[in-house]
Formats: sequence, structure tokens, C-alpha cells
Amino acid sequence: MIDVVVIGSGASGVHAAWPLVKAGLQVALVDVGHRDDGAPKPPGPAHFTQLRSTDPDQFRYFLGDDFQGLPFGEVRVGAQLTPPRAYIAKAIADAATRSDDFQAMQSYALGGLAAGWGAAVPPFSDVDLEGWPISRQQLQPHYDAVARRIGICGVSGDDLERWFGPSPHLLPPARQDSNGSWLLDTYQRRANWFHGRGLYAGQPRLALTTRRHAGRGPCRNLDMEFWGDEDRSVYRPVYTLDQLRRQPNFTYLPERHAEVFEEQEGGVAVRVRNLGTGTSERIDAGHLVLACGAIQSGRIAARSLGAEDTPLPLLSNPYTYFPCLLWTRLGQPTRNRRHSLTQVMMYFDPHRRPQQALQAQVYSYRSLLTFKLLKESHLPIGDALRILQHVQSYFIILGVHHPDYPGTSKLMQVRREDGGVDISYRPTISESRRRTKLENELMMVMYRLGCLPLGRVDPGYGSSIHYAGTLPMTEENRPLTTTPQGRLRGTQRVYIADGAAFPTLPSKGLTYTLMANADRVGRQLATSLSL
Amino acid sequence: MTMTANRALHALSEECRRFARYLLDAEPDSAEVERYARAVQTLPAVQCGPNERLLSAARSPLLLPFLDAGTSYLRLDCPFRRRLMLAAAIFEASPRHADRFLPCETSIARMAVMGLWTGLRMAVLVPLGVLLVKALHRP
Repeated sequence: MIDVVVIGSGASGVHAAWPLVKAGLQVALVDVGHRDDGAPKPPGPAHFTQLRSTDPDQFRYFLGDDFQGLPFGEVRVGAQLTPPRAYIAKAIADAATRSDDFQAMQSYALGGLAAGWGAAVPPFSDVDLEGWPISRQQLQPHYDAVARRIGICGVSGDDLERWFGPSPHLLPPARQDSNGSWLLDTYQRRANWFHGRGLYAGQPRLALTTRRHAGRGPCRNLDMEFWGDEDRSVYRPVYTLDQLRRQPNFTYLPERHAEVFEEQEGGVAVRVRNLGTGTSERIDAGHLVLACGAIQSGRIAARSLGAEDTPLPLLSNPYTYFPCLLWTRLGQPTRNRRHSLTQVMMYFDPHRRPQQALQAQVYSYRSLLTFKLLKESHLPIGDALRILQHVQSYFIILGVHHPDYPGTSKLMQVRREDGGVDISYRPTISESRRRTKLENELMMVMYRLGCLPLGRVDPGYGSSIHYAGTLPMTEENRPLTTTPQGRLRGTQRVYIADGAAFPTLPSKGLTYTLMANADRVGRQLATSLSL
Repeated sequence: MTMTANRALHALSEECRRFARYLLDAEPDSAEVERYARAVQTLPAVQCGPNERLLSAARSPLLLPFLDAGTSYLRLDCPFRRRLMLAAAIFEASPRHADRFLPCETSIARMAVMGLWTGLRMAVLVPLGVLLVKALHRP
């Protein structure tokens, strides 16, 4: 008899399953589980520049055997996925998600979207959790448990502590590249001036093992994080799944797509489609934990509770990025060894409204290859190539996330006829204006950091790939919501352990809180079942 | 292989060589040429009809900088510009030409000279290139 069936192997699913398995319960994890489809990968751990100069087969993983890594047309959601990671966005024959104004990237991959995430792990503060029925204090033990499990590096006591709060389990910070060091030095020299304008900067907290941790790492600064996981230093949920699969009371059920559930006397029956055989299967368990992403969990819940046609709220961090030139650093030497992840994390709150603050992440541009910059350049390709070779070392990408709150024009709805999802996502004019104004103010402050913005790229709504809020957690007893303990209202044995339960979405990346909240839901369920 | 297919392959090989001379002032190796021809034959995004006049004009090495400048200024997303980008990508993902794409350290003085030279080139190339592209391009 299965005690708990968990749907989804992403960041939420594996961390919800972990405490249940550790409590000795019989746990099954149902997953589509697309694997790396054999796309060519870099040949073992080697530095980016070394591969570039020596490997005759590099075009196979940099461009793809079918040249799928060449981005023609407009910038689209998921454009950052390189050919070796393209399987993460592979779809299944399924009722489609449709929208005119929102690009929803869903993953059926082993490890979900976090199989290709950027590994930034900012924890939510009490300000971020305003309007939630749980506090930071309640989440803290779960942040700590996840930090110990996955390995998080960073600095305590810097200017970002006011945004992050205390984190007692940090590994040593990652080695910064020359641009990151330069930016932080410039910031620290005039910290009071920047604080007066609402800018706070520091080293990011990353799910990156800077020393040996849980059989992984340390990061070797090969600058290949977008292309492969050779040194296993960036955390991926599949590592936790591998540990779970070694436990006798855990079963992994791949190639299964969950469709609906039905509560019965003493348990839950989950109907899944076996993608290998094409047949429908039924899995019986004592309890069900939905952790397959906000859109899919909302879809399964709405279909199972007969609430198709009922609009569900949908949240997604609006995302914009700015290619910038660190013009004050021109001509300075550059360190070759580096990682490709966020180098500097910033929070910008010029109007002292921390709930509206934006998050800006600084990346140095190199390992995503020059030709992608050529395409975006306004210069002739021949001239741009000559110039970029000399200024590329001083080129950064500033990725900006804004918070999101529920609204009557940001909704998803399950289609009764085929079970697919329609999404309509239109922020109000005042929301859009506020975002643009805040970005313009940030660019003025960035100029004082020696950073010259060269353009603004808006990849469209949904491009942050952060989705949440479809079954929000609340104290109010309303249908299609979640209790503070994670139980889906209208059910007795169904729990929500992913972003569907988040009532709001701060500008901070959500994955760390997804994992901590999943650990909380799993641990509470384990405790109640063990009593 | 038919004679027509052979001719098309030869034309693509020549196009790849012209682009390499323009972008890198170097000759491509046979693997890069083969890769370029295969990409053009595979990717619908870079294919075009026989009346694509920008690509025909690009057979002249003298016109290439003007066409590049004109299409860049006009932000024209056309097969010519896509193929030039494709060629750059293929050359970049090859050890033979990696050095031309990897960042190099340069003094500020040299960058200033390069910026000045590029500005002067643009002042000539862009107006003439825009006129040329407008005359040739039929959407």
C-alpha cells in the first residue's frame, strides 16, 4: 500500500518526498521524467576557453546537431536553454496551454525546470511573505534543512542580509569574476550614496557547492554551467531523486502523466496516463501531494473538483534584461576562471516600498557565445564582431525581476472540452508604468556604478519561467485554495507542495522557497501520518 | 547527386567562403563549409526563393559591407542577415577560428582608435547601404 503519492520530480516534488521517505512512509513519485535525450554534451570537465580552442566537435553541443541552438526571430521564453538542455522544454502529446499574451514554459523533464535553473536562492523575508498565512520564522527550519541538503554558498552579514535574513548553513562564497568584483568594489566605496537611492548589492546566494558537499562539487569555475553538469556543483533535483531512489520505501514511476484524482473512503485514486503504453492507469494511495508546477497542479485540481471553466489566479514575475557595458572597466585585465551564474545580486527600492522592490542579477557574458550578441547588435555583423572581441570582457547582462500580485486580468482556466489550459495575462496599465519607471530609475543608478545600458529586451509575459498562485494558501475558507498546512480545500487527503500555493510572488527567485515550503508540507504530513 | 543539387551546393560553399573572408579575413576549412551548406539546406529560417536579390548582390565581396550595414541599420530580419549570422555562429563554434571570437584584452587607446574608425566606416557604409538595401529588398 502506498502511503503518499507525489506528482512531479522538480524542486518541489523531491523536497516534499524527502521528509515523507525519511519518516518511513511508503512513497511513490509519479513523473513524466523526460531524460536528457542524448544530445551531444561537452567531453567531461574542461574549461570553456580550452574547449573552444581544442574540441573539433564543439559545434555539436554549442549549436546542436540540427542547429537548434541558433536563435532566429524574436527572443522567446526559454531562449537561455542550450542544445544539451533542450529536453527540459520537450512537450508531451497533451491538451495544450493556449494564450495570446503569455508564454508558459512547462517542463516534463526529470528534475523539472530546475534541471536548467540559474541556482540563485534568495530566501523570502517577512516583507515578502506579507499576505501569506505563514511567517519567515515558520519557514526558517525548512530553509535550513534544504540548505544542508543541497549546499548553498554565499556571504553572511553583507548588505543583502536585510533582504535575506540570517542563514546559518552557508558554504564559502563562489569565486567572483572581474566584473562582479569591480561592481561590488565600486558599490562599497559609495555604499551610503547607493543606499540613499535604494540600491543594495552583494554576492548572490547560490545552490552551488564551493567545497565537497553531499558527494558533489566543488565548483571548478569552468564557465560551462549553461552547457553541462560535469562537476555536479550546481544543484539539480535529480541528485535528491537519486538519493531517494536508494531508499527501500521509495518508488519512482516514470513515463506517467497525472490527469485527475478522486478521493475515496480511506484514500485517493490518481488516474495517470502511461506514456509508454498509451493506457490509463490508476494509482491508489493514502494521500496525494501535487508538486508538478503551478499551472499543472491548478489544472489537475480544477479538473478533479469539477471546477473547469472556473478562472484561477496566475502569477509570474515580469522579467526584462539589459545588456550593459562596464565602461569604467575598459582596458582592465580579466580573470579567465569563473562560473557562469549570477555574479552580483541587487535589490532596488528607491521609494521605500520593499514589497515593490525589484531584483537585479548581474551575469558576465561569455559562455553563451558571441554570435547571439551579434544578432542583437545594431551594428553591421562584421564590425560588431571586431568590436565585441575587444569589449566583450566588460559586457554584462542585468536580469531584472519584478514582483507580481493577483489581479482580475491575470487568470488561467481549464477547458472542459479537452482538459487544456487557457491563459489570459494582462497586467494593468499602472502596473506596467510602475515597472518601466522603476527600471529607468535603476538604469540611472547603474550609470553611477560605471555601467552603461545598451538596450532593453522584454521577452514577454511568462518569460521569467516563475509561475505561481493558482491555488493560493489562505486562512479564508474558499474553494480552490490551500490551507496554511498545504491541504487543498474541498479535499481531505490532497496537498499542494509547489508554487500553486504561493499567494503572492516577490521579485526574488522562488525556487528556494518552493523547496522549503515543499519540505514544510511534506514534514507536516509525515508528522500527522506518524501519529 | 543531380547537377542542380551539385550547383546549389557549390553556390553555398562559395557563399560560406565569401562570408568567412568578409567576417574573419580568413578561409574556412572544409568542415565549416560542409556545416554551413547543411545548415542552409536544413533550416527553413535561412532559406529563400530564387528572387532573393540581397543574397544575389552579396555575391560581390565589394557590396557585402554595404549590405551588412544597410540591413543592420534597418533591422531587416532577412535571409541574407540570417545567413551571415549563421556563418558567424559556425565559425565561432570551430577551434580554427575560436580566437577571433574569444574576448581579448586591449588598451583603451586602441579601443578609442577602433571606435573612431568604426564611426567613420559607418558614416560611409550606412547611408549607401540603406539605399542599396531599399533598392534591392522586396518584402
